[in-house]
Amino acid sequence: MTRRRALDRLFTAAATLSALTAIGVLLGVLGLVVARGFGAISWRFLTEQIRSVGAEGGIFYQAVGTAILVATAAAVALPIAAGTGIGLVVYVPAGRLRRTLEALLHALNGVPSIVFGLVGLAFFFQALGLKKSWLSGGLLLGLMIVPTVAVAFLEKLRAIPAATVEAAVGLGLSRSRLVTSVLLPQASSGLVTGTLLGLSRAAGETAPIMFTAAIFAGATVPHGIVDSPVLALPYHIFVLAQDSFDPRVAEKVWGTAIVLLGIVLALSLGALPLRLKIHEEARRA
Amino acid sequence: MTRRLDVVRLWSLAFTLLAGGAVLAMAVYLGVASWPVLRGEGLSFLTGNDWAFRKERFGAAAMLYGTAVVSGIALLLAAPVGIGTALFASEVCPPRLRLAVKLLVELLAGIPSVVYGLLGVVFLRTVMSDLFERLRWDAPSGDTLLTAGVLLAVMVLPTVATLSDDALQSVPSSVRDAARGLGLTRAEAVHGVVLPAAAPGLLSALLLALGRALGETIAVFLVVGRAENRLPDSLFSLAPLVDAGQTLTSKLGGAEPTIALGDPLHTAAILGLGLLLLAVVLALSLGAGALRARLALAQAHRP
Amino acid sequence: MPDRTSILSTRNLTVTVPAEGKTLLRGVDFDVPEGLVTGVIGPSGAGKSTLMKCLNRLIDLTPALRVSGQVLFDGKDVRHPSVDPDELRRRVGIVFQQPVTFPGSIEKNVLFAARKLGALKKGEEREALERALTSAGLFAEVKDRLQRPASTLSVGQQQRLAIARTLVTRPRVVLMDEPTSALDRKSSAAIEETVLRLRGETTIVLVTHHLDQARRLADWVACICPSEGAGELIESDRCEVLFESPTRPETIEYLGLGSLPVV
Repeated sequence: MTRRRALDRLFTAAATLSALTAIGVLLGVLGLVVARGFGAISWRFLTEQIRSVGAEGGIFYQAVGTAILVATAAAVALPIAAGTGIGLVVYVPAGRLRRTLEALLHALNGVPSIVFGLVGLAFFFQALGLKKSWLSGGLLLGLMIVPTVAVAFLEKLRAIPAATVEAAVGLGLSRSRLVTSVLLPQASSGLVTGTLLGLSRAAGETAPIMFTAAIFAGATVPHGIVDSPVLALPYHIFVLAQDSFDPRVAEKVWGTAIVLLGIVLALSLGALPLRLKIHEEARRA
Repeated sequence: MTRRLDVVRLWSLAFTLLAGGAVLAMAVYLGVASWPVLRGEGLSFLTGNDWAFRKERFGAAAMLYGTAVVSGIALLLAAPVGIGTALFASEVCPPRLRLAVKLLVELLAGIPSVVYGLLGVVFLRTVMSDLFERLRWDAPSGDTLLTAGVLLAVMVLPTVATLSDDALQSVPSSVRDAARGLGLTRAEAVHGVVLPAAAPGLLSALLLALGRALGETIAVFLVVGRAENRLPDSLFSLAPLVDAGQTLTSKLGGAEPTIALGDPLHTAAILGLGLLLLAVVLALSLGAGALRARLALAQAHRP
Repeated sequence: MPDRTSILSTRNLTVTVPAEGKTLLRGVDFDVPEGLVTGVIGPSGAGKSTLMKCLNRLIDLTPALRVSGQVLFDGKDVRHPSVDPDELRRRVGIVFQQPVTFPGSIEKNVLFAARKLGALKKGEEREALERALTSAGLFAEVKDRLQRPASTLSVGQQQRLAIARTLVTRPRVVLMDEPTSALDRKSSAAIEETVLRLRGETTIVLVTHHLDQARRLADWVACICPSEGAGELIESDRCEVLFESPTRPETIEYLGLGSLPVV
């Protein structure tokens, strides 16, 4: 075999090995979580509340808390992201300003989640005096995922054929009517996709909520806004992961991890059909 | 003609400014809030190796060192495997498999950091300490900078792979056709033509992955050991790898931010760390963006 | 059929897209006489480029396509397992409509393949470089700036560079897929001179939709037209014969349309 052939084979082998490693890691991670936590999953686990510092009972209110945070995040992120998408495409003139704003949007995406948590601690918790509040957590999570939602929305917006826009303008539609009657409906699948993806991330985040919204035990459903914390699945795992393991707790922590993974996966998969469709349409274009 | 208030325009511009201004607002807020400490400590905030809030000493050098080491290890491990995976998906893999591979890699990206942290605590920690024993390295436990680096490598691997794949895919197929048409093997075409063409995009991918690594808190917090003010005597000594350490994020992810609320100076110092983290990550993000722009420009010039 | 031997030929070549049930080429029996210029004409989308890519197995790079039938180089089936496709492509070079320049200087571009193949010793490089650039009609224009980046050349010069790059490894056949379509008159003329210069020692297969170009350069012409959705070799003959007295209705129709002045 010549040297060139050998190098070619080596390249193929190395690339394949890398991909197998990555996939192997994924399967290993999922496998370990499922193996360790499977025994904890039961109807009782999902519907009961926590007892004995996690050694007994279930994770009902942790799930409820996560649901509240996620719903708030969605309510915050959607209008902001939609507005940003429309603003960048329709109202902000092309050029330096638009490029800068887009760059800032991408920058927001890169901000570490702990920074959100810190700002939340200093601003919401202390300066505004909210103490731990589900609203702070939801606001921070919502802001955090705005870029994800906005980028997916922008992709769909920019894919709207120019002919469609020209036809609408030709019919005499004003800009704002163009937005509400044509752009928003046509690109709405981008908003949905982006939101599902963003929420998938928000559901699993610990850092933004650990100072501002989540506690380990003692909360059920919040009553007000000030001093109204919630429980949350990721924070629950985080706290328990730090103590040396009581074996009774161990299985339940893994079980919580399975539930969290399930939620994250479901949200991410929910975005999949739309994403595949966008991918197909882009490919054919 | 009366001018009606264009609600749609108002709403979208307002929110666009909100989204765009958010980063700046955070940076300014952190800057203003941490100014007392930054002014007081001056450069020793970065270079001083003494973080002792009770004594009102705020030198973050050890944390900067820890952050650099942990992120460096993560990239060192994740880059080859990630770019290799991207090469597989883009250049080697049969097209029908490509989507499946990409989806699986993305799945890895979606796993929350706390789950990685849990795996690190329960499994990686013991694996590492066994390894240290096997190699007869003197390590007190499995909670070390190296452990955090390895865990972080797994976490940024999907980022490297996905973004590198994007960079490789942006090289048009006509380039590969031209190279293969000359009789070059696939490896030669990739090495001689595709990789150079994709280089800015690959670099951008690594910078963004580095940004992710720098900002990761939860998983690193759980396995890094959280030992204060550990700075090695020599820059190149390997001893810190098997020793517990501290990073910017592991400090911020602990109890100290909450404790700091009681003392304005302490709060300022903690927020200063946050500002530092934000500044570095933003710089990397800008760099990556500039590289991507350069790549797009190069594409546009091609006939 | 010409009297000469066919250096390249296809027998019943059929290319399909199984996933979409489409056929791109059907039952093509194409012969390329050695040492001559063979023109390939036909309407766009008929499958001429696909045929080219089959001749040097570049079609392999598109796994979605299924190739059946035979492609013979010097009488040997090129898809036989013992054949190294990379070696085949060294011997059957190809030039595309849009020139692709590799990163680096003009010199690096021209010697790109030669260096990877290790075909030339250090001392031989300069001579090979000059020879290839002269054959491609580019040497005079670049001889003083061989170290400058190839991207600084004009499109026409880049195309000649691409030809020189292919010529360095001394291929026996050069496939040209519409090499002048993207170029101005001066560059097109230079490339046509190159084709005539190479004729004899090298076999050229030239796909073109400029019929006057085919008349000027080709010794032998084949016409590929779509028939029931797939490209078929309708007619092939000596150049003068095909243009003056075509026998098949599809050829007549194509030439009839094609004899309108090309702007």
